[in-house]
Amino acid sequence: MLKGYLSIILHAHLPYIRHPSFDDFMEEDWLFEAITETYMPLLESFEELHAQKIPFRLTMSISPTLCEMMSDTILKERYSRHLNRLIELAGKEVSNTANDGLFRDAAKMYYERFSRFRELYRHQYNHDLIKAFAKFQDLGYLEIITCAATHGFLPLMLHKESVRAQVITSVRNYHKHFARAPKGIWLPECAYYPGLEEILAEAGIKYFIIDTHGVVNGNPPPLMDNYLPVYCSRSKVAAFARDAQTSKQVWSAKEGYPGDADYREFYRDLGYDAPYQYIKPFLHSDGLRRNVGIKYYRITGDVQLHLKQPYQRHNALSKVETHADNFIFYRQLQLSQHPSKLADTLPVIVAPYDAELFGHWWFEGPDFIKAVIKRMALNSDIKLASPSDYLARHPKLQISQPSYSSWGDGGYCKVWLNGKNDWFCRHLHKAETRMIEMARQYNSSADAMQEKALNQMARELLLAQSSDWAFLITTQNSECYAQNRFKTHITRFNRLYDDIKHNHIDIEYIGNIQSEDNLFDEIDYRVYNPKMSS
Amino acid sequence: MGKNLLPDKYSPEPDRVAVYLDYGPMLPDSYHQDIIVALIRDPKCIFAYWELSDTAVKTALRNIIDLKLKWVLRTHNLDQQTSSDVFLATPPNYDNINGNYYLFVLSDTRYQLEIGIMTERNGFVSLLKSNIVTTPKKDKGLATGITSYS
Repeated sequence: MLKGYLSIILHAHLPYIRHPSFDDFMEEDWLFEAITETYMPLLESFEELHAQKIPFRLTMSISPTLCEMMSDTILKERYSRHLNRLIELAGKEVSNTANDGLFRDAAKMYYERFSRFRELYRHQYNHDLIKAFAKFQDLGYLEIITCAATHGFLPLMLHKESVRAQVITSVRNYHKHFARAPKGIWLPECAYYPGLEEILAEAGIKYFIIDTHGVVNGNPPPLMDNYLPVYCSRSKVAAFARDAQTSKQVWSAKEGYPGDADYREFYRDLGYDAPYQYIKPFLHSDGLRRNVGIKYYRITGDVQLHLKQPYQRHNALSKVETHADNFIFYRQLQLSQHPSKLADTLPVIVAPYDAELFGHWWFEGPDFIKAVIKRMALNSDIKLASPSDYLARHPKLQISQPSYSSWGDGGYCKVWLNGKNDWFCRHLHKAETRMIEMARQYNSSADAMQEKALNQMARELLLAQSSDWAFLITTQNSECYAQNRFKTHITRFNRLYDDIKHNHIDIEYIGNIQSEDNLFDEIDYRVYNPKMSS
Repeated sequence: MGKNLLPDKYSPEPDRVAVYLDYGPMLPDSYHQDIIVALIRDPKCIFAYWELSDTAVKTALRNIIDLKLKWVLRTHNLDQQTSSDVFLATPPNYDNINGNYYLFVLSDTRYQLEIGIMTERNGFVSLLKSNIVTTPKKDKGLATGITSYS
């Protein structure tokens, strides 16, 4: 008998990184690594399940910046080049390890895997990953939802118009890529503030994902903690809360499945292990060692990197099966212990994760998802469902006002607002105020050149608002790049503002920056006009 | 080539080049505006930043003849109708003052901040008031999404 639902939600996002004037830009690798290590393995798993006629239902948010990068011509060409080089390196590794019993199988695995991905990417998907994911949405296996336009951290914005611009721009972008309206939204960092649902409702959004305490601290308190979604008090938009236990089992690097000794070690990479002259042709032009994506070792245990043991793929895959069994067992237990307290409804376990955890950080992650899906297909107690499936089946829900929250460290804003990055606020807020002023002033009177400048101003503001820059500064990863990007977008914004104000628009300057910051060709700066209605 | 059990990452690359770190263009120190903004960081902490133009400061100081001025960030607890002051460092000059502060507060409470000058003769002279914020209920977030993999 059906006891409830499991809603697995994968959030795929990367900041917009595209530097056409450099042939070789290190941070562009983030996209290429995510494609090879996460998006292609997920798509390959979906293809396999579809071919085997195994039904499934997952939810994926693909952020607008990621959609724009996946469909960008330059980045597509560069990804093909990146993959070719990876295959070349993997081919050399196959030759070099031919007589090496410890590493031969892993080298062969990489070579075959990358070659399969190239075949899929080039021939089956014609370099179009959006279409590849959309296919599974059309087949009913995936529900693709949107995210704020550039993953802006919404609770820290000064003006409602700015939040609305992030949301409405994302909905328009979703229309462009998927030819339909999104049913749900992934709030960047699951960051919610009371009242946000009014903007979501205006944009036609039916639901969003929130962290556990956002619903648990709601007013009135929820009937069943996070096991039932709630409709927000101010607008009929549903909030689905993350399940803590499910998150911990998969997310935690130490206690969770990904930390198992048999799984592949992320931090030991050929880019650091190989002799320098051998690996140098596969590094960037700066010659610095970096991860290249070929890793021969398993986690082994709590030992230093040089004591890690060789990776054995069959042992790792066997562990995937054990972990999938364990995962389902605990979901059944949870549902048995939490029968619905609301008539005619069933509980739902919401399991949201960063998509890049699966494959990039946890190499076997896509295999785990596949194993869970295969078990779920045979399980009569739990059914996989997207949040909108759930709402269609159980439209009567409790009304409660969720609480201010995020899924970041500590549960609120300190990752994006602390002594290292709080200087962002005054620049962002001033830019918001100026953008609204311009949208109001030029609502119906902009000439073609002003229109171009105003739309580029909107792009620069949206890009400056990406939560990624503040996050990277806090975590001290690519801090210099993050600072540079933030300051560059603010500087470009301010220059455009001054040029428009002083009637000195430099069309060549706009052309130059637009060739770099070229996302959202559908953008309309009027989205910032306070009188604008969607 | 995966067979090296001791990675040579610990030895320098033979022709490693120095890398230029470009932190980006300089941003303005001030936008010549009068503003104080309160932002919720978490249930126990509000972040505030402010800017005061020289015009605003000169206008406020016009009627103040005290030499001993103290710059104050006042926190109003709107639910309990109480307020408390933080004394700020005196600015070196009054051309475009800006600053910021983290205030430790109560959860589930409404606050408004005010920046002003405390004088012996005139008492507290208000310069600017912030937006009103309500701190959330205190609860510990899961904190697993960010710290485990980055």
